[in-house]
Amino acid sequence: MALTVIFVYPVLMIVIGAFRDGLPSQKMPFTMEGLVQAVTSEDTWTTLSNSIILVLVCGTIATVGGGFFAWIAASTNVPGRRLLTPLMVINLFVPPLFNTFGWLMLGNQQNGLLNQFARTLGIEGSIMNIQSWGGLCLLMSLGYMPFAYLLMLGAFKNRDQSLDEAAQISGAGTLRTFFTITVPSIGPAISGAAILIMVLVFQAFDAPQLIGRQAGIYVFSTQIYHYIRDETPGKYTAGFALSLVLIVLVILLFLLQRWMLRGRNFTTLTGKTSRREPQELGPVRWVFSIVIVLFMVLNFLLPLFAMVLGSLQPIFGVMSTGLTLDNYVRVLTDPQLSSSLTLTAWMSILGGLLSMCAALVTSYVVLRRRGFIKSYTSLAVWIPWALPGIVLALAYLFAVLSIPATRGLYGTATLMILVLVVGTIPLSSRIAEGALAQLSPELEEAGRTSGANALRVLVTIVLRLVVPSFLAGWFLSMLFISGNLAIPMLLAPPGLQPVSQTAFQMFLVGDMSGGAALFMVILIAAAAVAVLSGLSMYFANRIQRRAGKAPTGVSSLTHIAS
Amino acid sequence: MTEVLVSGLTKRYGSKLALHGLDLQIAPGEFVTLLGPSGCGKTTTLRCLAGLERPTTGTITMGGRAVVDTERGVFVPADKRKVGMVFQSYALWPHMSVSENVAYPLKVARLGSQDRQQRVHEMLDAVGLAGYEKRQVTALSGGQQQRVALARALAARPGIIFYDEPLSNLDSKLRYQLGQQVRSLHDQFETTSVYVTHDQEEAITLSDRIVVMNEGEIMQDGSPAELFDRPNSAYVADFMGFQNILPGEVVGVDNGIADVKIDETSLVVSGTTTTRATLGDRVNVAFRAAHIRVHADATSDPGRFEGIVERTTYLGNATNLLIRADGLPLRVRLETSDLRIDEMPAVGDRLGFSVNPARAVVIDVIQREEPQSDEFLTTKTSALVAPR
Ligand SMILES: Nc1ncnc2c1ncn2[C@@H]1O[C@H](COP(=O)(O)OP(=O)(O)OP(=O)(O)O)[C@@H](O)[C@H]1O
Ligand SMILES: [Mg+2]
Repeated sequence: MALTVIFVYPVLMIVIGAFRDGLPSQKMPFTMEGLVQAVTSEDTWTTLSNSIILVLVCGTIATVGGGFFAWIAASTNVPGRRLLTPLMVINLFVPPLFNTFGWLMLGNQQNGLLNQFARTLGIEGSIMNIQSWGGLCLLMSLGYMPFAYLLMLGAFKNRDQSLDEAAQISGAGTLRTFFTITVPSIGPAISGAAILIMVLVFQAFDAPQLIGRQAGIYVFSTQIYHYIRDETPGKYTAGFALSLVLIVLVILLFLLQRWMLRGRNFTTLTGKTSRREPQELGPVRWVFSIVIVLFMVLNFLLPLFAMVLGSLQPIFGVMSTGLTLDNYVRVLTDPQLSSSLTLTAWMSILGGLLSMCAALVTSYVVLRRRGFIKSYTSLAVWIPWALPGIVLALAYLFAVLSIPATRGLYGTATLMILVLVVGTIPLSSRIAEGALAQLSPELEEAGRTSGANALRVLVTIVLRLVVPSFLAGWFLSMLFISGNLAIPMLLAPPGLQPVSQTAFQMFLVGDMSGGAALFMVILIAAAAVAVLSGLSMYFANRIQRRAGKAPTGVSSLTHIAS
Repeated sequence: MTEVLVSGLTKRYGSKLALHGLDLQIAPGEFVTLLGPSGCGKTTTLRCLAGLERPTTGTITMGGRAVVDTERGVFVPADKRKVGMVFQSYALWPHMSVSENVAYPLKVARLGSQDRQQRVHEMLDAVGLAGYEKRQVTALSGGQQQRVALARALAARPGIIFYDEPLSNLDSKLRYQLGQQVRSLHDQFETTSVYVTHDQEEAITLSDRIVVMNEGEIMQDGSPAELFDRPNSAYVADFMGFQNILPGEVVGVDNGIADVKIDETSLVVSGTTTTRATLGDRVNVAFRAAHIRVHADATSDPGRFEGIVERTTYLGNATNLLIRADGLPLRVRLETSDLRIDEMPAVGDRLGFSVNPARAVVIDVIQREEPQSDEFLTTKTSALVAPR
């Protein structure tokens, strides 16, 4: 029941909305006009082609790059390969919005740091403009690479290396082996990752909004936003129609993946698999090392540097005024900005907790129940996967407005948090699934047979084992919520805006330094939490080093990918 | 048919020496088995031969070509050695069908598509999988997968094929069948084969020659019959299933037969010796449970001794006894067909026993003059005699 209200009902709203005119609160007749208009409108087709170009380009680059790094990490002797997984996990922690802001400060045409740097070298004009097709593709490809990496790492690690050796024995050289054996043998993992990445690119809002719009590149998510917020009166029907098209495309992508994998079961064949020394690469491994460093610089160090530097400059991009902490002081003392920080903190702590709890319960049901409840739950929980944040927000907006009793929720922080929680479910339920998967029913049964009652089993065994992953998932959900831009953009109550949106607006009006400082506060807080929990985990492990490895937060993180 | 010469082969993993200077010659067309317990370095040896592992030192010559010579910096990688290999995990490529798997080595060798088809057919025929060409390899049973792996290894007609415990994932009946198939394919295609296993029965039934390894060293190298009947050390004897291995001192030598007084007992057991043992030497004497004969009466004829039955285990066509003779536990195996029904020994029976001197072997001979190695021997052998 709760599932229906929270997950299924909003989707129905989209469908209904696409066939009606105006806001749901207004009594309007059903009509096909919205859809017809959408199909005949030139904007729709431009949006579609923009989206497809972006999805294909970024999806391909991110998958190839992620796979390449995963291969390096799992089976070669490239120096620095052990840095990859920690780097990628950290990258996953950092909200995409952060990188987007960072790159905006690095590469905008007037006062981007890189352009300024180039000018000091005597180069006229600007060397790059991040607000362009190239910039958008670069940023999004890099941004999704860590996820692609983690999605494929397991497959590369678990694959039987003797597959390659058998090819070598057959007379195939390294390159030929790589392309005819290594890559195809984990084809399903690669195509699975590719499709997921494409779905995510399809749904992305932050980068297209911040970077694409300036270049006149509208994709689905930004076009929907544009219809609803930039036009007066809001073109709701058009927005819903586009949302519907987007959902259908996403579902088609998922179906495509299913179809590609039909009847092909690539699970490793029997036998004890040989784990041998990593593949010896010649001097080319140094080139690969440089690529790793380059990736780290581009996707992490440079944006971080820009954010830190920017947040310390009284006026962004002006070097002569020196570096001060003024921006931080301003952010923490200005009543509006500090209330924005407080709101974000509460929102993410509470929302993250709710999201993880909901994820744990639903995953437990999916895992242990059978029949209709199971399949209905897994379908319902899957829905947010298919709905990008902007569509989700729109759906909820519509949903609460269409029932008089809930109309009061419109424009409240409660609704915003609720939608953020729902939007985080795909992430948190992956972590919850991972945590529960380590928990075989036998463990519970063993507890029961040794005389503990159901409650005691739940507390002493289930929770005890799940807690580390739960905390990690909570943390990750918090970051996700605090970095989410799309949902607050539609649902934030007037005067009560979370950091992401406030920072976004500060960027828009040119106060980059203030925005950067605001975001840095969140990031520093998150990093502090991460370091603290990392330390406590480390010491807890030291204190009770047990035979069986207890599930740790990090292992549950890498599970997101598996 | 490739000849292989290995000399001084060592392989170091970090600080651990996995192979200690192996010397090995394999004649063209020979079927050689590397036998030894887990972790003794069989796989490492095989992988060095195949070119999948870079030896730390040593030379390997294959069919007259030096493929490894660490001193001259020669190392020919696996893809340039023209060898075949069957992996323990089969290593079939899951994204290819049966025929694509078998055809891959041929494709790499640039065989024309006509010939390729024909060869694939021929190979699948040979392993009894005709008609399975289009199947995905993931949709095959363990035994069928194994046979595809065999066909693939043989397809390009390599001069030598390496097998790394190819049958260890199969049930015992299939293991026997496929073992026979491996051997007949070896004969049919006239290749040289190097086969790794830790199953002595498999080794004995398949090989021309067996190399027993322990901790990276070769313990003994000989025909199956030699190893089965004439192990040259307590280690090999134990591995070949000699149930009784006892330390003692030579008290009489006569025409290749040595009488050995077993330590801490009055028992004297005679056994065949190939090394020249002399009076007073420290030795081990090893014999199988089946090399002991039972006599109804316990006379004190030379070679006979008296024992009390402590435990009997009925096995159907044989009975195993644990007896104690002068405080010493011994294992005895009696063929049921040799006994009368009413003659079954029971626990507590006091019977006469003797060891067949033509079958028992006297091994690990250490000349009397070296007292310090004497000590070494007792510790080593007492460990072997400890309850097993
Ligand atoms: N890549 C490696 N790194 C470190 N040590 C290794 C490596 N490969 C093998 N060893 C060690 O070398 C020794 C020999 O290993 P090897 O795999 O050759 O044994 P094996 O005789 O094939 O055993 P099994 O019957 O279990 O397959 C072992 O002690 C093993 O631990
Ligand atoms: Mg092995």
